[in-house]
Amino acid sequence: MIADLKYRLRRLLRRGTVERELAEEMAHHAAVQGNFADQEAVAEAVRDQSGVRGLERLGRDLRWAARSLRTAPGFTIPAVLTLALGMGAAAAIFSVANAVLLEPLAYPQPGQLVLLRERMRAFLPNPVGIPASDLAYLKAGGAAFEAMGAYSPEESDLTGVGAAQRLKGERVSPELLATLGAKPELGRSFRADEDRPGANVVLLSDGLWRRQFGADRGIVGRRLALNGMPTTVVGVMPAGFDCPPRGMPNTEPAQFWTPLALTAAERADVGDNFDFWAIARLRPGASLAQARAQMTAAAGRIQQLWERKVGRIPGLKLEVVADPLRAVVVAGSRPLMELLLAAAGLLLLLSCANTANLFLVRASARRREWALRAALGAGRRQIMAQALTEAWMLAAVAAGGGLGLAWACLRGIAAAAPATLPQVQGLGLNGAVLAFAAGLTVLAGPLAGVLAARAAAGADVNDGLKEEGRSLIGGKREAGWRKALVVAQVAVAFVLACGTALLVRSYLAALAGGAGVATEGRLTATVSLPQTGYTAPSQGAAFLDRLRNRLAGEPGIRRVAASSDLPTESDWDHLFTVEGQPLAAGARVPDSAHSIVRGPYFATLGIPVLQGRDFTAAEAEGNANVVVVSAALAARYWPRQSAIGRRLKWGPAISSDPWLRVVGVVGDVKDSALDSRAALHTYTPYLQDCRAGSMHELCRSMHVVVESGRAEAGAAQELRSAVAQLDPAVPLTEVRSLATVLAGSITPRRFNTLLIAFFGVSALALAAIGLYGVLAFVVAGQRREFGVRMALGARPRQILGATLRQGLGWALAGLGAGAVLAFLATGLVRGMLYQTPGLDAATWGWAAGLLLALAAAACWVPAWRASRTEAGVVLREG
Amino acid sequence: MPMRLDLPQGTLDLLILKTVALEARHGCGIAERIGQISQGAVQVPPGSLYPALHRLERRGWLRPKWGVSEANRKAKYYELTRAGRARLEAEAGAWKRLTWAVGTILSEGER
Repeated sequence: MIADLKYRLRRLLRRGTVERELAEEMAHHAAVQGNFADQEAVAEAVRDQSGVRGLERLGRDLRWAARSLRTAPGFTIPAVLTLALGMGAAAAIFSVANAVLLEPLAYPQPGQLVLLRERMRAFLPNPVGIPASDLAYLKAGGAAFEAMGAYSPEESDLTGVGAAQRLKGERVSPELLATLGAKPELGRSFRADEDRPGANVVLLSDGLWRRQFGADRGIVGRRLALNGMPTTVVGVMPAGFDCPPRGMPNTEPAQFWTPLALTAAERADVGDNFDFWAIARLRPGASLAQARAQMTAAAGRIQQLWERKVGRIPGLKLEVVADPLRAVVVAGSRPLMELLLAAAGLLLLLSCANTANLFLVRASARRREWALRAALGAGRRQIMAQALTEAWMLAAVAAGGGLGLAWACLRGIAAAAPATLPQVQGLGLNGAVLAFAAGLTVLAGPLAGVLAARAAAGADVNDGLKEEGRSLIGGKREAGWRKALVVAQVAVAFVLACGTALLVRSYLAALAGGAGVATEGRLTATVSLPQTGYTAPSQGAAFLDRLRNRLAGEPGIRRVAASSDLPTESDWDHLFTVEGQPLAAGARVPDSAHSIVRGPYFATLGIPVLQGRDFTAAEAEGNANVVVVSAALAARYWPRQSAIGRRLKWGPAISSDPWLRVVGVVGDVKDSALDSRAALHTYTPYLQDCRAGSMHELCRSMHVVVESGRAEAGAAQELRSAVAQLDPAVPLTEVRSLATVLAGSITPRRFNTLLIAFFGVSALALAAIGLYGVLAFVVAGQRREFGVRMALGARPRQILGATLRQGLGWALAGLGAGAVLAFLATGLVRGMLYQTPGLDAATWGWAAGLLLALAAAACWVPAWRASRTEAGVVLREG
Repeated sequence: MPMRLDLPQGTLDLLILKTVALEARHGCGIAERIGQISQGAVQVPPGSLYPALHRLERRGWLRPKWGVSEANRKAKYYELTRAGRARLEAEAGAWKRLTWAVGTILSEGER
């Protein structure tokens, strides 16, 4: 073993000495024996069994490949750039998909984490949170879990550190931090005895700690005013820690955590407040199926509890849904990732095809070289190995460039990514991506080089050497391959161009469609009424009125109103029941997006009042039980009749809420995003929803809308100073124009469109380069033929036309194949379209037209060159 | 002159190891010695000899040693290592048993 290694190493590292010794040994033999002619053959046989022949040959092939690539920059540079583009895009998208789909959770052993939710199919199709009253049942019933904890969102006002501000936080049980495996960076986690009301301790997020406290390492033990209560900082969580988990639908990152500390009232509130979420960690060896069975049993016990406390609810069947946390956070981004991976894969194939074509073109030009090598004794395998080594070396260089490109792409992606893809922030080139790039290199090399290698190995000595000056085009088979590759490129480019055109059209349609409100001159901002000083809704209403009156006096300001939700940003749904219209058996209780408003909201946003009227001043005081509904709601429940005077109430039919009288019907407004359908919508006066005694979060966080004839910056300044003068303790945040709000609702669409457009444009460019390359090569080989034709009287126009026809013929063939592919691929993109049919003729026409124009431009240059052939010159050359 | 023999696979290695068992020899010497002892029945051409020598060296059974030959030339001598001696004994034993067995089978019925 060791002797073997020593021998091989010596052979590799001390080649000169070993070779000299071999020569001496041969010479000695010759001197003694005399008749020893084939010394070199014997020496070669010795070398053959040295055990390092493969390595030596590889080294030689590498050196040869490097030299051969270096001496042909006209081939190497475009080939490397093309391949780098494909590999870079693939690596960037891979690292995004890897982060989003495979590593979405930044907790230890994330595969063991399970999210628990409740579901009542009769009322809502999707799972919801868990009432605090039920948490103990889940904990008691979950033997398959080694740990379980719960969290619930909260908002708190931080005062005494700079300007007053409202922070998004999360109440977490001490067990939850243990379940997630989270440990503070500074200080300690919550103790079990702190999980009670009044413990007044807080953990800060890394972001808040840095931004607000200058990363002060002495922060632990300091007291802050949180909602006016002195609260002790016990620790700081590490950067990258998130709870709720990143990617959970409809959640924002928390900036601080307090103990869950369920109050007696919360524990007693059975089957009502679904705002708690439970995460459990499976015991090693326990299966998800076991956990699900246990949770189903627990659901039965919970339902019994509900029935004891609130009575039987007809049709209610409570389920506890246990899903892997990873699956839940990934679900939203999966379609986009699949589309991107498909696009990146296509682009990679395209760039391989392009490089393969360049290789083929080069192989034809090098037939003589290969033939010469074959004549000098190089075997088929050797020649093929050399050609493949060259391709691999090219791919390796391209992979380096591709990684650079991927890095740049990731920066761009992080900048443009919507909040739904938070994992993308701070994404880098990690080990997985490097391994992926290495894998790409191994695959892309032969993919790009194998045709050329076959051509090289197949070079016939006689033909190759005889062909001097003639038929540069190369063999028929290679020519066929080249054409097929060009056609395939055009086809793939057409698929991506179609996808791009469809998405761009959808984006424009979504922007142009609007949300059903007027945006011009509308400015919005969020006021957060603090806990201290605003304990009664009347105080909130009074503040909003004072703000309106104050602003109304300023020049240029026309109207001011406030609402709990802005168009495209509402996330508050109300179940409702319409008087006199019982639900069909098994039908779901309908729900509406709901806004509570103060002031002339409809007029300020330009929402038309179609029937009836806006709330009167008396109704705004909250004791009239009235509601304004959207046109869609009125049309569904009172079609072809007046909705005014009809009644509805919140909750299912059994609810004890009072009936609300419809006083007006207004135009539909998009409630979630510009590219979504407008949901049914209801509006009530602020004081009607926010009644004395309970001042819930929605009543504290109100959006002010200002309609003015002034520039945005001026109006914003006016609003800021008005709020600051009325009450400096009220934080004013998110000051932005209504148009910005609406555009923000389709950030994900813009992101998708930009990404696909990147692929589409790259694919078009590659296809054009490919067309140009092949046609230019063919034209160069036909110079003599053109010369003869010119001499026989052909006009330049005819040559130009014939050449153009040839190139455009390939493009058309590609377009035809691409149309078939695109037809098959529309399914991938259909879910992302908005008011654009997947088989939209105009869009396809645009894509085809653009592609043909590019193809014509790419073919024009070689065709024009062909038409300028000077008969005399060419014919004399040969 | 006796008939020339084609050596079965692997036999050459055994012959070489045996030839250098007593004293170190150079490549030519080994070929000559094999020819001499077999009375010319076994001729080892250099194309087989030298690859075999290097193969045995790589396996650690032969150790190269530079010396001066009888013709006063610098020559590469090969000597048996301990591992080589062990190998030789094992191989020689196996060979003897094999030839005995083959011989016995072939001579069956001749009695």
